[in-house]
Amino acid sequence: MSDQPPVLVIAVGNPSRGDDALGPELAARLEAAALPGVEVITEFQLQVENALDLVGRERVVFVDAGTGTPAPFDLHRAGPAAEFLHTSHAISPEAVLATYEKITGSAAPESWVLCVRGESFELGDALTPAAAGHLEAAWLRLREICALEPAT
Amino acid sequence: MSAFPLETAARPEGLRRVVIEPVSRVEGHGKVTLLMDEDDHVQQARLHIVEFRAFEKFIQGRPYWEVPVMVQRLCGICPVSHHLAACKALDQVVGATTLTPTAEKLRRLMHYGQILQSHALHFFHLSSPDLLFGFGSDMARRNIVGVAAAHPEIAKQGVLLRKYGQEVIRHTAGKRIHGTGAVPGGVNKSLTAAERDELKKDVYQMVAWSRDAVRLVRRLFEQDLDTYRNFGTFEARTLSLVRADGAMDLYHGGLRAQHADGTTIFDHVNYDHYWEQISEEVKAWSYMKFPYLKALGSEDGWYRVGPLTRVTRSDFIPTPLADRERREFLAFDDGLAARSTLGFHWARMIEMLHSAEAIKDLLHDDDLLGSDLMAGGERQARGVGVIEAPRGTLIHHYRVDENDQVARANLIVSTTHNNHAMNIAIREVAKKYLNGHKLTEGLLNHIEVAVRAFDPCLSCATHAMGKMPLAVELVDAEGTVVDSLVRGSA
Amino acid sequence: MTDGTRRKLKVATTSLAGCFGCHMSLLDIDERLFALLDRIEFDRSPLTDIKHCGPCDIGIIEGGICNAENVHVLREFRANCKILVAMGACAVTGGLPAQRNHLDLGQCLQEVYLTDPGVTNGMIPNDPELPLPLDKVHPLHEVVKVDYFIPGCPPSGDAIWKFLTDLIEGRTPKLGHGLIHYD
Repeated sequence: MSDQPPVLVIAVGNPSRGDDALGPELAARLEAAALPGVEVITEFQLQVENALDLVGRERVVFVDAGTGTPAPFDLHRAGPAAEFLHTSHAISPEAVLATYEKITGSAAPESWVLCVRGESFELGDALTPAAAGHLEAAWLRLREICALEPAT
Repeated sequence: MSAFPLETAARPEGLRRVVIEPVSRVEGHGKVTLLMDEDDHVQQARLHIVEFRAFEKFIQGRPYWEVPVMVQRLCGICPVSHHLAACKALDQVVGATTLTPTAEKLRRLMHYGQILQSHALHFFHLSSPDLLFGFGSDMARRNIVGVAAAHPEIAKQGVLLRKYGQEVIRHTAGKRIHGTGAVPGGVNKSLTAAERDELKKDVYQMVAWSRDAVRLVRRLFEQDLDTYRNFGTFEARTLSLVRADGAMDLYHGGLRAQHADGTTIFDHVNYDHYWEQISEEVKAWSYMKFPYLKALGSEDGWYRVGPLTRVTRSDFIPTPLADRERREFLAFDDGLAARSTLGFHWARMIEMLHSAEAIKDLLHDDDLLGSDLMAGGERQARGVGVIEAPRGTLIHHYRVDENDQVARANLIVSTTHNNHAMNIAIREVAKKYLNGHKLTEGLLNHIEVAVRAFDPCLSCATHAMGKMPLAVELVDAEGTVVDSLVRGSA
Repeated sequence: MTDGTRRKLKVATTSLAGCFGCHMSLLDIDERLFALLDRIEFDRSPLTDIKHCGPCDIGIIEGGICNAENVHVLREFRANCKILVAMGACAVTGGLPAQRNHLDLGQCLQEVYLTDPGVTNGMIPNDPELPLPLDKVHPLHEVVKVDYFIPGCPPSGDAIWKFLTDLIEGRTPKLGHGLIHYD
């Protein structure tokens, strides 16, 4: 039995890079909402050590901004895939899950990727109006998925 | 037969070998060997740098923007020196002949932060046990733990001075150790007002404590003048950067080399072609090379770098409290303190004070909060960056090819310049304190005290590897390449 | 945390083929050093003048293995320390110095000391006082058994503090989010 909050939301993004702030913005809202049983982590990039954050969880939601991805957002189940590139500078949610399975020897928790569409990612810019709209839509869905009934 | 007395014993067979290994309370790995005759006289004394790494070589082929992040891992005490020297060199490669005001000030802030913490560490954590308890004092308490027990206020100030310098680095570089704040062409982060205000809170305390540290060293000189004046002391030529107006400037300047008596060898020389001024010699018994001024040759061209040189051979220090301390240091004991090896400690604390003042001034400059961080221009194939690191003049030199990969790297690090000087200092101490005596642990520590005065960074000194692939082309009368040979490419 | 009747734990530290960054990170515990000194005393360490490691409770090593002398020191630590800790990327994986492993060492020595254009009297240092470099740089666990690994380049002062206080208090060391990282 774990003493960790059962739901983990990992938001990824650089708040200084225009619409890359979508992930951190959603994380900030979620933290302010203080939903029971939900823990929020914010990272600039995913790294191998994030696999350790998944231990003891029942559901994990990776939140990130996407470019050229469906608007306002795309939500899908994620499974482990050992797709390690030439650099470990940043890895995918799927690679985090594969790392988890490799080091714990057990199946990864139920995992989702919420990819919110961004338009522009320039250093120093604020969120574009379009991205701000996508943010609102994604926020509603994120709250739903944090509630620990079987997700649809 | 060596030109340096006590470097090589005339008849080593039959001599007794004594080794100090490792040299403690310094950064990195070194050992001292002594050959003693049956009258307990030293016939040979050598400081060996025993490690050998490969940075310059394995950097070849990497994208050039990785270099500032990689090379700082030469050293965990002064990573910022290598980080900034690499960026200064690569500034030339990306054509950033002038940085934005915000970028240069942030880099300077980072640099003064590291001078502050490095000098605090060296004085309080590493050297003060010898100076406060005595060079031959009880080994069990001759360390920072002993200082904390006997002089808790001094130990606390040392820890907090270092902490402050590390916090300055964290805010400018992103991490206290091995950060990423400087990039070719500028910096990638400015300070927020909140960060600036947080640093401003304690800076006046740091200035005050730094000045107290200078005064502490002065009292140590006063209490044992004869020892401090003579210990490991010798005449040395000097090398450092100075600003165009002759001021001490630890971030940038031209090369100044002087004879021991202060007369000029060369002055305000652009460091872009440093190899025209400096060559290096190899000796069989150390992995660290022996640089010397080409114009004077390998026997008479060795020189000393670092705080003692910078403080005494600049025309003035551009912050007022440090400059006043500098003048008092130069006058003390009819100028003999400024020529003594233990004078390094006094000069080092003056530099720590200067850094605290410079940080204070920068924290009052709103340019630190600016958003204009990067500069660029016409791409060059080669860049040289020179900076005054805590331990002395640091040279980085890179060649970058059209694929953005490093084709060549050459580093001459601060401690390497002091190789001859450190060896001479230990020989002076050996002659004066060890000759004719049965060797005790305390006497052997005297040798280490001489090495410690230089604050050597022996990890930096063992970077050396790898040079440019040598390419030779045979061209005919029309300039067509007829044949070519490349040696040494990886 | 202080208890006058408990003996202080003996801690030895060293940097092998490391850059001293992990030792500097240990000092990044700042004033917590004074609290730590209530519970531990240093044996061999860059901070003390003890040249050889005696019997100790905890040995902390940064840096990998790059020459013969490193191997001797590592074995001395393993033989004398009840718990041996590999601290930092170099001790754990070989780290940045291990980037030389794909190079030919002999060729490198020649290039540095013989054919370097800045060198005036080429010779490869070969005095017996100099430890022989190893063909490859190795992490610690390839030579001795290691009890704990703290990743990071360097691990933060907070991570080292958490690790040490867990160990000293008799808990299994556990580094949570933000303390365990590889960069």
